[in-house]
Amino acid sequence: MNRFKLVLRLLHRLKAKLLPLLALATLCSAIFGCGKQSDEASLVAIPSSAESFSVLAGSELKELEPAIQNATRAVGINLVFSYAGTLDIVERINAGESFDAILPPNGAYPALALQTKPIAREKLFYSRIALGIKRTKAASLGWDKAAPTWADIAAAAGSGRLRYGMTNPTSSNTGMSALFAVASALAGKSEDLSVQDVDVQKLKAFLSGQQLTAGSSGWLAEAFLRDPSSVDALINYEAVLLRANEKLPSSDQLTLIYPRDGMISADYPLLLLNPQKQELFKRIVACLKATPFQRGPLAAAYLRPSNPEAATAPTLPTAVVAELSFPNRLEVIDAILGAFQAQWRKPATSIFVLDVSGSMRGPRLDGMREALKVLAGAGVATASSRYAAFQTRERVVLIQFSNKVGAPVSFQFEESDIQSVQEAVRKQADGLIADGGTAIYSALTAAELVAKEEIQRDPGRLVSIVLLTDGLNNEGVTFDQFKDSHRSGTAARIFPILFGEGNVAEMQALAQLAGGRVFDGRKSRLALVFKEIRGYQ
Amino acid sequence: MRKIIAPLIAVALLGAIISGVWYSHSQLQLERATDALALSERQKQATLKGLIGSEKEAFFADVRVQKVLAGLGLTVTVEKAGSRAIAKRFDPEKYDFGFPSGAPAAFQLQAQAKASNVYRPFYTPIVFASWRPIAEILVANKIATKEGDFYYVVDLPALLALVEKGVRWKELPSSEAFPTNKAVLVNSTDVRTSNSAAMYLALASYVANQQQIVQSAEEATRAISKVAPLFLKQGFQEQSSAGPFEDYLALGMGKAPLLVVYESQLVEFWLKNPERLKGEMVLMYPKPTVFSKHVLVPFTSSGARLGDALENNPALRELAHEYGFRTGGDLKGPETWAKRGVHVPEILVDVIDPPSYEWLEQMIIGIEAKFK
Repeated sequence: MNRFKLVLRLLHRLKAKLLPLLALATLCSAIFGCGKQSDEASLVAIPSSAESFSVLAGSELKELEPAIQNATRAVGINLVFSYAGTLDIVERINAGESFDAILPPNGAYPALALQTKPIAREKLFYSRIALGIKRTKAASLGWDKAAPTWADIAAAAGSGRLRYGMTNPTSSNTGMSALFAVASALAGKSEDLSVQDVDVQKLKAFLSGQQLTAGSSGWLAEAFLRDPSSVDALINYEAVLLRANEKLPSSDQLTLIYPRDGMISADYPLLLLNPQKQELFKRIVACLKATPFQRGPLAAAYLRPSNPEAATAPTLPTAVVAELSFPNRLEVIDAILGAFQAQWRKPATSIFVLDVSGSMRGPRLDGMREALKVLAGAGVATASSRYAAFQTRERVVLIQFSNKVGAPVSFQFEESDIQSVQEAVRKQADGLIADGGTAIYSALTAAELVAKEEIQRDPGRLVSIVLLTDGLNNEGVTFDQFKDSHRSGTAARIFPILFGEGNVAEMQALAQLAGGRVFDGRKSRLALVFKEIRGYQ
Repeated sequence: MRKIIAPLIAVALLGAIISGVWYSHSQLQLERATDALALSERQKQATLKGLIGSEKEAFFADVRVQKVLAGLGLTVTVEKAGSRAIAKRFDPEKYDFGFPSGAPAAFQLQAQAKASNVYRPFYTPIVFASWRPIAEILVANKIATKEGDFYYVVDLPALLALVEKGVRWKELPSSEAFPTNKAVLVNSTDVRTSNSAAMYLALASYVANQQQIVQSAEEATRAISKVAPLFLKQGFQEQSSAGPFEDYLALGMGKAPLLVVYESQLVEFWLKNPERLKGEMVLMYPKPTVFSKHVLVPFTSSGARLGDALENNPALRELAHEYGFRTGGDLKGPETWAKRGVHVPEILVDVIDPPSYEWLEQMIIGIEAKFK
């Protein structure tokens, strides 16, 4: 009915003022094209004439892909999405990968770090970052009545009253934004943070409450959905938190809290890189900023509109939330992220369970060696590879297995001799020899033992297990036996890498059992997969 | 219901298209008849491409503007860029004109283009986009006065003194409406790329220079150390004026209590969204303020034709008013806006000139060095 009125009004104006043909054409497409998709749930088929436009986007946008594609296909454009974290997006573009545009959650880091400046930029939508906390916990901390400051949150975390999940700031925008916000707020600065300003003691108290880490905001929410008892709260996009709430029983639902001294919001700019695609870019932006899309699918996904004519969805809080600013110098960002990894975060114990059975011989073993060496500081020193490298205070345990399980070899990384330990890891990698059968679950059982010891010795560590195997279990403990002995979960999260002829379904079941996720090493280089996994360790 | 409406709309649209064609055709004939001299000029069809400041993009995208221009034989496509970047991307092979948002950037562009004539079709004062609760805090602190329903005047030297002292909003008396730890600060775009920030620099340097326009290298050097923190303290800044204004609209007071914008941006928004006049958005005119003059620098003869049309064509001037720009001509913007409920001062008394290109550029380079 509204559309009808709109047309009448426009026709009226036309009489009075002369609206040219082009306006009508635009109007037609607004009414019949871009606006229509919001009513339909299924994916619009790609018209044969559709032009293709590639986008490298923040990984939490995967859920929104069908809605975005429906909208743009209706105007004859097929968007082809790939996903990565913010730092990776920038590095892949700087390394020469070609995409027509990127869609990171926050435009600040790319603006500072991209070597070739984007040709055009348009913010598509917004999402605030919030602390989603269980209602009972919020009440017990008194935060249901008045929003806490970051210092209050740090104090609760430091005294063990708040356990939360947050993504790794070096892989994901929510972690990065939250780290800058909390560091600024604790330093009593709303602007222009430098590393000297950071109140390390309070920041470490805050970080001591981090019980769950992840390389992406989407997976962080998934991990919580699978086991809501694991933490009291999550730091994440309000959009992701509210979507998670739809799937949670009310006792586990998260109340959104915006710390009183402020946060940093995501502003989702679409940044055009390909000068040949300016026209398509304009059409995509027009379509995605039009009110039907902004009021429809975006509002349904709890994202805030960038088009002021599409009012914010009533499901989103409208109270004033102070915004803190993103640092304006790459050196500052680098110094803070570097210090986070090496000095401030909870130290990690990273256990790698590595298949050296006969089938790994040749390029597979070479790939594994290379991946380990990259983490041990070999290769190009990009920002992300520096953050992905084994860090000061970290303990790395390598367990190699074939039909026999090797004794765990541990490496303790300390500031004083970091280079010699890196060297030792590289030597260990060179010494790997592939031969024999595959006793996956015997090896994992050994890794579990190490994990238990580590947690007992130092409960303040984040302990995780990575499993790399290219084949089927044919020796020792069976998967069923392993499952039976871990009915109540594993000591540490297990992250299996799909590789070679490994059993995909079994690896997925294992990840499910152990609260981890699988990574695919079949298509990309193992070194890149290891780097991605580092966000979860 | 939709099944019935769709064909109806289709018929209605078809009718509209036919009448539109007829109307525009007859209109065109009328124009031709009244202006026979320009006929030959008009028939010369030209397709132009230009680099423009982001806040003029909507104007050029308006089909009514394109229509008037087409009537004059001009088909214009634009790319947007920060005003200082426009000057750096001068390329007469690729573009017919540059249309930055400020005289200093245009001056440099004019020198590069060796253009003998430039056009100044629009101008707009620098203002702060703000919020009623913020404005009232400043009124209570005797820094601002309320002058109209949606606008205030703020004493710029007094405001910048607060910024210099590092006062936080919650420390100000009567700040209950915005009790945050945020420092009192005016947000702007990146002074290295964007004209609105350069105009803010012009104002701030005037205040820093004992209320005198900076007119020498010594004065510029002295001003840099005083004004640089206004930009450095902001943290990350965007390159172009449209982005922060979108943040202002989307994220509200918490993001941008005071944001440097062009008056045109808010006026345009209110004209398009009159219901938002009831909201909390307000304009603050700094005292003194400065005009941002949108200067079209032609690189080709077609570019010059466009500049001439924008400056002198009454229909284009009227359309420019809809985008919040002030123009020359008999009918100024504020009168037309007032008829639609958007009341802004018709005349601004306390307006300074920006420093000349040389000194402004020296200050920008000086601030740029401090970013490193």
